[in-house]
Amino acid sequence: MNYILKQSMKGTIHPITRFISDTIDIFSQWGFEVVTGPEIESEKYNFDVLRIKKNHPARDSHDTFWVDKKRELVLRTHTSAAQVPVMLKRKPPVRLLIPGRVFRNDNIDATHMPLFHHIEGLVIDKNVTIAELKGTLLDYIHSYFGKDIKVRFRPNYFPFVEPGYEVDIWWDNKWLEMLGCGMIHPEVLQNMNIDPTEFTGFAFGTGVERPLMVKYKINNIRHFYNSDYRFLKQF
Amino acid sequence: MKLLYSQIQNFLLNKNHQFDRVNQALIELGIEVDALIHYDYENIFAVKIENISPHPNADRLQIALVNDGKNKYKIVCGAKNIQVGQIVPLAKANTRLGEIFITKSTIRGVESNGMLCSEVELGLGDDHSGILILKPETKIGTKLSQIYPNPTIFDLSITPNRPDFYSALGIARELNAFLDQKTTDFKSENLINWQKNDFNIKNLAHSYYLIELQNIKNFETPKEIIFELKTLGINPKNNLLVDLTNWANIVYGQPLHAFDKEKISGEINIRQAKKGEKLILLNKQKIALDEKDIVIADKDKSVALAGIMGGLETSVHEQTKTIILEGASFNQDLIRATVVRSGINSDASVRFEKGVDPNLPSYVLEKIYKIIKKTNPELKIIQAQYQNNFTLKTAFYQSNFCQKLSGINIDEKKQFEILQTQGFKKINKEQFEIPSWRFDIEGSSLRQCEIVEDIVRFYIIDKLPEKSISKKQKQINCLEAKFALSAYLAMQGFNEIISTSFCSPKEIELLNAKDKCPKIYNPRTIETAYLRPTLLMGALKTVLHNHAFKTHIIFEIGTVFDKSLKEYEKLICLCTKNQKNILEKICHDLNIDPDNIQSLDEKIVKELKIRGQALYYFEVDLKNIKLAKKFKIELKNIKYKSFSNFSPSVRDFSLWINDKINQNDLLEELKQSDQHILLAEIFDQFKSKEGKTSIAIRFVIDPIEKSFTEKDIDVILNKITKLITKKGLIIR
Repeated sequence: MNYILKQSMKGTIHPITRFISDTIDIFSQWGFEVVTGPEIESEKYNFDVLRIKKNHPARDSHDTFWVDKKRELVLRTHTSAAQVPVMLKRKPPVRLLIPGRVFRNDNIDATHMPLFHHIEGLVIDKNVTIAELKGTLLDYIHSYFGKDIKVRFRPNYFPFVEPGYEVDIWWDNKWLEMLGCGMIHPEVLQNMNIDPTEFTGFAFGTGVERPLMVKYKINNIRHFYNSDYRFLKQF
Repeated sequence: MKLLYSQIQNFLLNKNHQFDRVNQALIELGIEVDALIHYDYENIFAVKIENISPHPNADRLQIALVNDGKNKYKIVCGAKNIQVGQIVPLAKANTRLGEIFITKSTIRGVESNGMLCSEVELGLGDDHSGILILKPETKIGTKLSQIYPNPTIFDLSITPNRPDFYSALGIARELNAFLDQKTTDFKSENLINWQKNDFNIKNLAHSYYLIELQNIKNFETPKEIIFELKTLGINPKNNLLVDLTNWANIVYGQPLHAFDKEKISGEINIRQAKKGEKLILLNKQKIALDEKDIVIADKDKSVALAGIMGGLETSVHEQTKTIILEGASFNQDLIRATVVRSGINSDASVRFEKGVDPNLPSYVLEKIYKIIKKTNPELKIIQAQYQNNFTLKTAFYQSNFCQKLSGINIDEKKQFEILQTQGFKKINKEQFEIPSWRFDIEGSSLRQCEIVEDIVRFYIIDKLPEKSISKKQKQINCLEAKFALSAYLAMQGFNEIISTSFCSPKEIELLNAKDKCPKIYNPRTIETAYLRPTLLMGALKTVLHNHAFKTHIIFEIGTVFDKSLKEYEKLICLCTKNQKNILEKICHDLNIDPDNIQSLDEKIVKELKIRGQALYYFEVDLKNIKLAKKFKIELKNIKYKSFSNFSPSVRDFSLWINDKINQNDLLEELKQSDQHILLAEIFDQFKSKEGKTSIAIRFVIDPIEKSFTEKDIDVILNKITKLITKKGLIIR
């Protein structure tokens, strides 16, 4: 009789799952709670309460999928869509991480897919300032990419934060966009039933595929969804 | 938006800033530089062609001997339009020309010391038919920068909150404030005697200006303007009015429109469209107007869709004797609503839908008047009329709010200085007048953050402090159970896939799920026509995609949808028949009824032409799964290697090994034996009754550059066999 030692090779975890899990591990040291939201979201939570008003040009950058005739329900275009509904069930102080799948009605190419992943972060407390925003995100990026990585903050505009920033990292001799962030807009805090004169907060949103593509030099976003074993088995 | 550096520079109060400083300042100000297109005109010289000889090794090439007054250069050239005696531009070695970089090079055995340039290579337009021939009187040795302004081009991303940055003027105003702490005033010179008119602009526009001009005879566009348009990729029409309007849009951010006075009956006015009203636009599109659309109208009819596009009938042409030039600041919300409703966009609407400074039209119309007058000395102003309906808003701001948000105490005086350089005017300690071009600032006490943004942006984010947040106890992670499940399944040999949430109509038909899943109402392609009702399709596509592999063993955890738009989180595990026993074990471990395991429907097998072993799977609701033990995703040291688009080859080897062999080292060594081997993994292992160990190794061989032939694979397999034998191991 032959004695079987090992029947099959070990399976693999998808890099997207790995990234989300790694990120949660980093943030768990600061007591971030991990929550999720639905993939089909109301126009109100995906846009309106985040100050992306109907007819506002800021909506142009969100190529939206509509799932009902009346155009009131969308496939969420960002995990920020979960910010307000999640906060309506909580009181500050909070530290939250909201990972998930998001959708844009984009044409497919090497860097665009109609779906990809986001991780949203939210910190609301008394006396939260840009200093804490910078500190937290620098700590995170240094943990994931290494202590020596050069990081740059650059002003940018997102309707639901003010001021808003884009964070770049210096990688392969150029600056690469890594995530968006900012101080939560007081009108958004009001939409969460939070008094903006008492509390402040910051929010950030990072892509998942993009940092993975940067870190491992993956040249095509489609690899994440084509499930080629040559790809999957490397993770 | 593309802008010439020189266009910005024209408005800079301090012309001595280094280019790199300006470029850096744009980034610090939040004006993203997507691309920088640079042409090094300082290193391009006018040279005379002294001799042309054929290239000894190439029929299509010639060798030009050129002289820059000091030296002679041999240049290999492909263009056929050159002649001895002509003056042409020579880019010497080490010159940056947009995307290309000129170096000294040898072309078909002949050394070339630079390049003779065409219009397109110099960024001067799109004519690449031949070398740009300079005027015969051009002095040889002259730098090209003395003939043409250097077309360094910024391609900028403008955020929708700052429409004032949609122009060279607006960007320069910000740079003046940031780099030199100076406020820029774009005041008219009172060349035009504007008369207040009774245009009934109500809430339709913040300001509205019309100027009637007579005696335009010369419709030729000044060459500087043609140069600027061409370098920015805008085709000059060589019609003064058309070109000037395009140019004013970029330089001043002020859309203008010209009407043919003779086609207008009575007075021009501004109103909302009437029910059933129609208009044929400049692009010949006929549109039905909505009662909310703003139109420009004469006494009988509408003549333009305000802020978006003019009407065809009243447009100007070279025979036009009298024109009416319009400059306005329309209500941005109404313009935006029309753009969204009608789907019509233009260079004008891009600006109007976000807001145009109501003080801008008079300034810009005066500039344009001056430019037309220069080539049309007999130009006469018949009338110049305007109407305003705006007051400057005020903002409430307490200076201590800055620290509350930024974490740094910036001196009150410094804060006020920053605001003043940006055009805010202090009314009292807590009140500021908001500049007329800032539509993004509301001014309430609640929204003081918008003022702080302007202050810290000028203070520069890099200078703000950073502070780590406190460490805290670990909190609930709602994904923990899912991660544990993934980790457990990977340990059983399953590979996690993540597949698209969408299904095509064909796939839905195959799954017989037409009435079971939600439809997307605006899909861009049929691939995104439906939301998935099951995870099965993604798993099957994986099998099809990896047809080179004989064994499949995959899982996905993901959301599926039903007709009522409810979401369900599901797990699918799918594998080939040879792994079915693991599927049964998993059912046991996860407390799932093994009856859930099913073989793939014959109809689907046929339809998808799935070959090889039979497929088995189960798909269950995540809620029904119980995993008794705790599992965690293990960290893995990942070294990623890219692979080709060609189909891989998968080959299995079984061999006897002894216990002294380190299996991981062996795999690594085997992998190194040929660069095409992407993966080498042990998938089976047993001990014989004699105590010998056998391992089975699977090699995934990637073709890298071209499809494999059997011969190519044999070469690689030989290398593997050789290495195995060399190590004294025996292939079974």
